[in-house]
Amino acid sequence: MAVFGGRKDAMEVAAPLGGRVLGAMCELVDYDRKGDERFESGLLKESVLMLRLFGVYGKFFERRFLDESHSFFLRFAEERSAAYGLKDYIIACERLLQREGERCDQYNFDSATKRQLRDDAHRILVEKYSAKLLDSGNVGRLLEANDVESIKALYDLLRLSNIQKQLKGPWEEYIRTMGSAIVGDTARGEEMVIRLLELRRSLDIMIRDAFGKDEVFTYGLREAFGSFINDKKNTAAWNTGTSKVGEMIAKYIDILLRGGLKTLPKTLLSDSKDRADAEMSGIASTGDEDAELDRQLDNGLELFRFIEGKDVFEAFYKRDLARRLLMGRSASQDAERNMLSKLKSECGSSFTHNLEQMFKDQELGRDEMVSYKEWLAGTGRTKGGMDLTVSILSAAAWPTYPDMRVLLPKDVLEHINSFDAYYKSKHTGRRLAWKHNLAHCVIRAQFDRGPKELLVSALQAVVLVLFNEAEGKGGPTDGVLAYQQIAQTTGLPGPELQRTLQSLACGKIRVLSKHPKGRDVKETDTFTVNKAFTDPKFRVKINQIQLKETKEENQDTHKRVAADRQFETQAAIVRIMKSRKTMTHSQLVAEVINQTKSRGAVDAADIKLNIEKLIEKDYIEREDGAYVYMA
Amino acid sequence: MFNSLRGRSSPTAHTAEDASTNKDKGESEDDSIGVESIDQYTRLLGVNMYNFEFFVLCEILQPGTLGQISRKEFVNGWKNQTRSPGVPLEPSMDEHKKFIRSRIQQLPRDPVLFKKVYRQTFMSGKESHQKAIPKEVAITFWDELFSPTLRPWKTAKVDWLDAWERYLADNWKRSVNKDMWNQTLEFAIKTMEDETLSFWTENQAWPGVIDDFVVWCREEGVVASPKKNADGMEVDE
Repeated sequence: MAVFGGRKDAMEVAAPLGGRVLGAMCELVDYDRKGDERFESGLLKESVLMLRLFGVYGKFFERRFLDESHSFFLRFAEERSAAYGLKDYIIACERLLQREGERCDQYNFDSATKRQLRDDAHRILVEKYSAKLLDSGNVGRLLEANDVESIKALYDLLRLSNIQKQLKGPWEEYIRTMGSAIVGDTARGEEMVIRLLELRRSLDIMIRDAFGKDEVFTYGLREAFGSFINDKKNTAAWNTGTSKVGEMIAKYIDILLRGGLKTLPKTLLSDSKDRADAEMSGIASTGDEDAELDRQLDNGLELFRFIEGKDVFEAFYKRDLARRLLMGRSASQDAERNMLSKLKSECGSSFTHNLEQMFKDQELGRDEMVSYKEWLAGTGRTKGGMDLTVSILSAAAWPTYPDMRVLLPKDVLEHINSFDAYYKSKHTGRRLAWKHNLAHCVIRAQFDRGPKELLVSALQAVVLVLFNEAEGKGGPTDGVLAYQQIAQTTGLPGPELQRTLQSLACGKIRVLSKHPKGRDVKETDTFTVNKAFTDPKFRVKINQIQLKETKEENQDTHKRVAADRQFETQAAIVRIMKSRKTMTHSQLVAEVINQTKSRGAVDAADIKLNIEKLIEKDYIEREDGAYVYMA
Repeated sequence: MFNSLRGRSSPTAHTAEDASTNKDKGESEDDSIGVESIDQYTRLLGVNMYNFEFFVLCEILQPGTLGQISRKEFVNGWKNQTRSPGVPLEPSMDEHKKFIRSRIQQLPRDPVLFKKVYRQTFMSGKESHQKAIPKEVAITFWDELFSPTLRPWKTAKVDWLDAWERYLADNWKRSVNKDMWNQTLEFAIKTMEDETLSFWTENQAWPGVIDDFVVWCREEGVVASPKKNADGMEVDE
C-alpha cells in the first residue's frame, strides 16, 4: 500500500508506480471524455478518494490532470472548430463545459481544480477562438435563421470569458446589412415598413430572450437602425431625393388608422410576454384591439424616431390625414387623437398645430352646416331633395390641392352658389375656393335589375348625370355619349377625364359600357349606361380612385419637401450667422447640417448654393476666407 | 472713361443708352456732375479718364453710380484725404493734382491701396439701382486693373487673366455681382502666391464660380490635377 510512501528511499521506487496511477487516472478521464466504454466510474471515484487520503491530490494529481486536460482542450477546439460551423461548435463547447463541470463534482475533484480547469477551457475554447465566435458572417447566419437558442448559447459562452459585449460588432453589422437590403428594395416598397418592423421585432425578441436584455445590444440596435435608415446610398434607388422611409412610415400609419390592424402579419402582433411587460409598466395592458393598435402605432413611431429628415413623414402624414378626414375614412376618432398627441411629443407643436386645426375645421364645418340648413329652412327655399354638405378648410392648415376646372350640373351649381353667398355674407372678407376634385357624393341610379346607390366622386357624378339627358332622344344615338361630347360638357382636362371614365367603365365595377371595349380610354370611344349592372350590395362604392394617391401627387409632395428644405437651410444659415457673426465655410456647413438634420438636411453643395443666395441678398459677406453676418 | 472702355468691348444697346441719358440730364439737375463735366474735370486734374487712373480718382471720391459724381461725394471725398496722418489736404487744385499723381504712382506697388481701388471700381462702375455689372463690363475692368503695366495676373507658368476670361466666355452667362467681383481679387492674390492651386479645397468659402473655375483649370490642363491615392482621395505632396 506504500505506493507514495513516506520514506525517501521508498519514494524512489514508488514514483514510477505513482506515475502509472496518475497516468491511468487521466486515461480514465480521457475515456469518459471520448465516451469510451472502457471507462469505469467507480474506479475513478475511488482513485480520487485514495489520493485525497494520502494527501497527494494537490501535490501530484492536480497539475498533471490540468496539463493533460489542457492538451485535450487544445485538440478539441482545433478539431471541432475546423469541422463544425458556428452553431455546432457552440453546442459542442457548451456540452463539453457542462460535462467537465459535472465530472469534477461527481468524482470529488477539488473546487480549485474545477475552477482552474474551467478557466483553462474558457481561455482555449472561447478566447482563443473568439475570431470564429465573433465572425460577423457566422453570427449573421444564426441571426438570420432567428436561432435564439444558439445565439443565447453563444452569448453565454462569450460571457464566460467576459467578452460577450464584443458581439455588438457582428450584431450591428447584421442589422445594417438586413436593413439596407429592405430599405433599398424598390420591388417590395409597399412592404418596407412591415419588413422593417418584423426585423425590429425579431431583434427585440433576440435581445430579450438571448441577450438577457443586455443594454449594449439595445443601444447597438438603435445605432444600426439610425445608420441604415439615413444612409443616402440605401434610398438612392428610389430617386425621390428625400427619405423614402419617412413616406412609407406615414403610409403605414395611414393604413393602421384606416382600421388596418387586420392586414398586419401575425409576427408583428404582441405575444404574451410583451403583454406581461406592458402590464408591468402599467400601460395599455389588455389584449383588446385598441391597445394592440396603440402598440402598433408606437412601433411605427419608433422607426420614425430614427429618421433624419422628418419633413417627408410630416408632408405625407398630413396628406393622408386630410384624405382620411375628408373621405370619412378614419376607423376611430380616438385613435386619431391618440396619434396626434404622440406626434406632438415627437415632432413638437409647430407640426401638430396645423393638424389640430384640421380637426377643428371639421367640427366648425359641421356646426356651419347645421346653421346653414336652419337658415335655408327659414327662408322656405328647399333645394329639390338634394343634400349638400360643405367642409370648410383653412387653406393654411391643409395640404394644397390644385384647382380643378369642371362644369357642374346646373342644380348643383345653384346650391353651391347659395351656400357661397350665405357664407360670405356671414363671414365678410373670407373667400371660398371650391375644390371639386375632393368632393364625393351618393347618387341613386335605376338599373334593369333594380335601383342602386352609388358612392362616387364629384367628377364621376358629373359624368354620370350627363347620361340622364342623353336618354330618351330616340334614334341610334339614344343614350350614347362620345368622349368628345363628355369632355366638352364637363370641361374636365384630358388626364382627369380619362381616369374618371376608366374608373366607371373599365374597373371592377362597371356602371358604364365603353365601345369598343378595352382597358384604356381613347378619344374616339363612346359610352352608354350599363343597364344590366348588378351588385350584391345596395350601396356600391366606386370612388376608390379618389382615395388613391397618384404618381404625380407623390412626386409633387417629394418636390415640395425638397423645396422647403432649401428655405429651411437658408433660415438656418441666417440664424446661425446672426448669433455667431463670423464663421468659416466648414464650420457653417457643419452647423447647418446639425441644425437641419432632424427635419431634413441638404447636402454640402446645396448648402453652399444657399449661402451664395444669401450673399447676393446681402445677408452675409465673405471676408478673409470666412463668412461675416451683415446686420 | 466708362464710355470709352465699353466702346472697346462691344457695348450693349442698354448701357450705351444709359450713358447718353446721363449726359443729357446735364449737371445742375440733381446737384451732381455727369460724364461731360467729369471729362473736363479730369483734364484739369491731369488724370487720364480713359485708363486706370480714373479708378484711383473713384477711390477718392467713391461715387456710388456710373458716370456721375454728386457734390456730396466730391466734397467728402477730398475732405477725407490727408497729406500725412492728421494733416488734411489744402483745398486747392494744385494740392489735389499732386496728391492724385502720387496715388497713381503708388498703385502698382501698394497691395492695400490696390484692393481699395479694385473694390471701389465695382461700386462706381454699376448703375446705382443694380446689384451687379454686366459680364462684358467686368471683363473690361479686369483687363485694365490686371493690365501688364499695373498689376498683371500672371505667374511663371500660367496666364491667369487669360484663363479666367476663357473660362467665363464658355461657362458664365450671368452678370458679375459684388461677391464674385471681390472674391476674384482674393483668388487672384492666392494664385500669385501658389500657381498650383494647392491652396484650394472645396470646403472653403470660395464662391461656386471659383470652385468651378478650379475644376475647369484642372480639366483644361491649366494646372496639373492633384495626385490621387488608391482610395481616390487627394493627397498633399
